[in-house]
Amino acid sequence: MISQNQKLRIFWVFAFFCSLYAIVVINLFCIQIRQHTFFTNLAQRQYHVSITRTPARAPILDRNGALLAANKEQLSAFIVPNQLRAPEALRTFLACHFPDALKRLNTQEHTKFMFIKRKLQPHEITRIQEAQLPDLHVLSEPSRFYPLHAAGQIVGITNIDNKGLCGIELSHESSLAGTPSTYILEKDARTNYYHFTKETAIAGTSGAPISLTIDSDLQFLVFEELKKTIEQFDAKEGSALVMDPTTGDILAMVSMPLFDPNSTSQLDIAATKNRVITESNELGSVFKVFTALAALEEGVVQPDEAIDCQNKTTTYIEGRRINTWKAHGIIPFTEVIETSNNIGIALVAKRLDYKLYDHLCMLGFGKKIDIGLPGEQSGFVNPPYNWSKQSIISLSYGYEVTATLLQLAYAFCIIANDGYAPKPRLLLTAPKHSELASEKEMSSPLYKTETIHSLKEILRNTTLRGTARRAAIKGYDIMSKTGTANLLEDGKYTGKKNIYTCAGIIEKDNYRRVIVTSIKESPRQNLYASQVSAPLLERIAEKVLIHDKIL
Amino acid sequence: MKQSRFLTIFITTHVLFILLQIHKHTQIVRHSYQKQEFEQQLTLLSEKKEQLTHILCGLKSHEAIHKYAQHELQMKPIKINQIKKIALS
Repeated sequence: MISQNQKLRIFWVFAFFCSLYAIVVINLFCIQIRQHTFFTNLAQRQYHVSITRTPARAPILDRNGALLAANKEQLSAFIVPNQLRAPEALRTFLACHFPDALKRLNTQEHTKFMFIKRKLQPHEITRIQEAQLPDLHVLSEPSRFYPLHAAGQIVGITNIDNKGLCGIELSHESSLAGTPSTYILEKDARTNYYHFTKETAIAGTSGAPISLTIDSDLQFLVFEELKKTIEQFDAKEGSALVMDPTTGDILAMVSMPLFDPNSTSQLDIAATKNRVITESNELGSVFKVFTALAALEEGVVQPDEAIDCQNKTTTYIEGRRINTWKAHGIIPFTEVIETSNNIGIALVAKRLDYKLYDHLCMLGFGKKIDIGLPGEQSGFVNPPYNWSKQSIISLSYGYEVTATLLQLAYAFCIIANDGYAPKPRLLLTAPKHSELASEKEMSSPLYKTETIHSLKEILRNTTLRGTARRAAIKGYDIMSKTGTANLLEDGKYTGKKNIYTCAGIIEKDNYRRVIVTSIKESPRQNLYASQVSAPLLERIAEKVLIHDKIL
Repeated sequence: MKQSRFLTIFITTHVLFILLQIHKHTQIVRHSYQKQEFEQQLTLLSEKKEQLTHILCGLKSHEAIHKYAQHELQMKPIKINQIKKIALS
């Protein structure tokens, strides 16, 4: 028999175990039910890790697939300021080699991360490696490398975070960079190196490569010739453009001064400007081509019509003074263009009146062409409601109208393309040649074939015996026109600062190219475009012909 | 007798399924590790490719070729009228 005392003991033991079980149950209740969310999140954090991966920036290629912008890993040095093991040694090292970083460290002593320097130079990497400091770490960061310096202003550059700063890198930032992807990984606790599962939380997109219409070989050749001319005339600036008038492809587009896109530590912002599209100037006599085109199209003048150029270098039309470089008497209209006589063209322009404005607008002046590069200027054509008595005279030989070199090349493309307007393009994604050919058949020309033929003949003669003689190449059909324009200084035109322009069309059988050259501000006096930009056009044309094997 | 055989088969089948499940999981983990190793190799190779592309671009640089041609090989720029065409019949 169980005694009363034993019963009591059994009860207490039973009660003790019951209370233990009760504690366990209460704890389980708290963990599993009351604090369920907290512990679930804690477990998630322990087992899972979320990582975001930025895709590699896509390359930029030329029309033949040559790299214009590629990726390159660059090293950056960093420290963890709140966990320094040898702070004194680090400070001594920083004081010696990275004093700026030391200043920042003094103000950020308790931060969790601090860059010493990003994009380290080779000698800095060597210094860091030699120092063997336990607190100084190095990480690899993506950056860009640009194989062709001459294309720097087109391609542009990226900033320290590899985001586009200018050029194509900026205008096509989103498509080149892609979008980052986020993954959730189930950690492997044993190795802490691998993961078990990988789930895509946010699916990103990889960057899409961009192909340009630029030919990198041609770009370099044009750059070389432009550089020689700028050095020859000690000019301040210069630009050159080569286009295929049939497709509207921009094959080479160079402007100087140039910058090195691979060395941007001391970047001259002005040098990053692509002057072919970002600078619009009054281009002078080269605009006589468009006055002639408008006059021939409107039938206000015939190519062989005699124009009285008054045999003077200075004359007055309706009380307005006109200067021209050389006196000519009564000469046919074709010779007015060939000899670039301001008086003759002004007299013809008077017959056109407001129609000249319409023609200049139709040729693309005064509005952006939009080739997908930032900073493009629209230029300006003085509208008739703003005109003074001088305006029609000025417009006839390229004043009161500003244009970019691209706009000038586009207008010459219309002439080269028998009156049909191509769509200029820098990205090799627009319709191909065959598609454009069918488009050309469908679209109507802006000018009559006879007008274009007459104008081409005038331009041909301008190259053969006129002001653009130095642009001629034996055995090739070169149709060009030069223009020397005074630049404005303190609101007044100065003969000391000029812009020398030459635009031309090269033809041989079905082969056509439009070349435009421009040289700005040479300290030498009494220079004309026929001496500066016409020879440059000839040399570029030679390079283009040899490059394209048009022999 | 029948009951014990049934139980034996039942338990064996379940144990077998569990073992197969463990084997499957092991295989998945093994291949996942292999895949990750390949991914790491791919990253390393991509980095090497980038470095080689960089070196190649340096060698193919127009400026470098131009300098080499002019200074080392004493080459001169050609004019278009210096080019002679040979007609092949």
